[in-house]
Amino acid sequence: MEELGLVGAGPAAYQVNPDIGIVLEGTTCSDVSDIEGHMQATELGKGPAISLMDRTTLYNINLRKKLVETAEEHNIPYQYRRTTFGGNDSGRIHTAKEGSITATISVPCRYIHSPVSVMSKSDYENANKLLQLFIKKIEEGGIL
Amino acid sequence: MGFNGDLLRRLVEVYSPSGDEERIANVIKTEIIDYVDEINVDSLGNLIARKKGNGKKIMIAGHMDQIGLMVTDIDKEGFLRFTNIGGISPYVSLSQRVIFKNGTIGVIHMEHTNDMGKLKLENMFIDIGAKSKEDAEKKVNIGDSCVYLSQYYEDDSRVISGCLDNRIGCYIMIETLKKLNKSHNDLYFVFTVQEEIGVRGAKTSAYSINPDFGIAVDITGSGDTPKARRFAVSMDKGVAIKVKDQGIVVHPKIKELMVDTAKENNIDYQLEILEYGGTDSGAIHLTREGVPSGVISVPTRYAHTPCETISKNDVHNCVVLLTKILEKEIK
Repeated sequence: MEELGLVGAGPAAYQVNPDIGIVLEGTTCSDVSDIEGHMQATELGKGPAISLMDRTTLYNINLRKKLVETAEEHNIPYQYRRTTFGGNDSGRIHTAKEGSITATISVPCRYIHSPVSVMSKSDYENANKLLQLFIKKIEEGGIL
Repeated sequence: MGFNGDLLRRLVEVYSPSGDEERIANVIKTEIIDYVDEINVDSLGNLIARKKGNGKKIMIAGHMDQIGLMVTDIDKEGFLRFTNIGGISPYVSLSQRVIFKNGTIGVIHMEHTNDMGKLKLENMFIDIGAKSKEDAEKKVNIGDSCVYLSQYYEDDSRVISGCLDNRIGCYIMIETLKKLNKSHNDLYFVFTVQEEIGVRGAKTSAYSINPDFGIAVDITGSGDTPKARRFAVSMDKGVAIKVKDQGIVVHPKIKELMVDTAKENNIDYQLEILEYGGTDSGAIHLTREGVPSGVISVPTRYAHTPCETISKNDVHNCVVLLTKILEKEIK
């Protein structure tokens, strides 16, 4: 019930009580019509989008930098999510119990929240790759 | 009166926007380390200092983060686009200088418009003097944050500075810790993070401490300037004891405790009902099974600008009131 207000994530995070949370999402991609560059949020085909901040989370700077490092070390294309509208499960996860750190990896989707949403397969595959390599990096230690 | 202007100036000059509070946490830690029994930093960065006691557990919370701007994009000419961290007004921001963590200085300005009434942050930019995107990226990257650059000013009665919200709260907590005699109570002085973006640090730290009572220390507004929004709090008329704001209706027993303590000690006070805004108390009082909480506020003119203005008398009264409350045996 994320779409109704991040409902499910809170109780789940309360139970799991994570040290680190990684949220996977589809996000806004307005790289069409005459929207200015800095308001486009993301662009199709430019890689998974890494969140800086949204309405519900200011993403842990250290964790975000490690995620970017992972992408750069393995030549995975990535972009930043350039707008801060909206929120996701991270809002409830990082503030559950004594708190934790989170990051969000999103696949850009044109016409999101419509029946004709469009994503790029390469963005999806790169998001998948990035997630797996990031988990490995976290397991190597040195992040917390 | 013993106003410690040197400490306050050092506090307001530390770069620490919401989400990046490590620097101010380190400065505060150095100030209080000799006055507390335990100090910890939790996973979100809250600085939690405990002064042990056998009585009730009291959480005193003041946020150490400040409002700022985060870079979201860099255009090919090297101008930075940004979003707000906390309550940022486009009108206050126009023509202000900003400073980044690495000391880079920028100027905030706007795209040309004929309609100033519709000015929004998305039509503004920061100029760091770069000639191109690559040139800009040598100094600043997407995801970096900056804060207003302001100049600390102090005279006999006032302080004018950016970031008094809420380094003045931190100042009051630090000075109280230094003046406090033996307290019966088990005191947790929590310098919280991310208050300006949704009282997030207070939420998680209150969960972990699970206090019996909470007292937040923060600024409030003032209603004493020409044609101000109606608000019965004025600068230099005493400590503002909060009754209600957007985040909390203060528990009557806590309000009573604060008012009684002020009367007993001849401390000037005023009662505060703020029709906008909230503080860490909003998060603390809803923790777990609920925590009766209140707020001691510093009346402040021009909040969320680089020229926040406070009365030194009011600050002194806040320190005395907080000290006297914590020295009492609270039931």
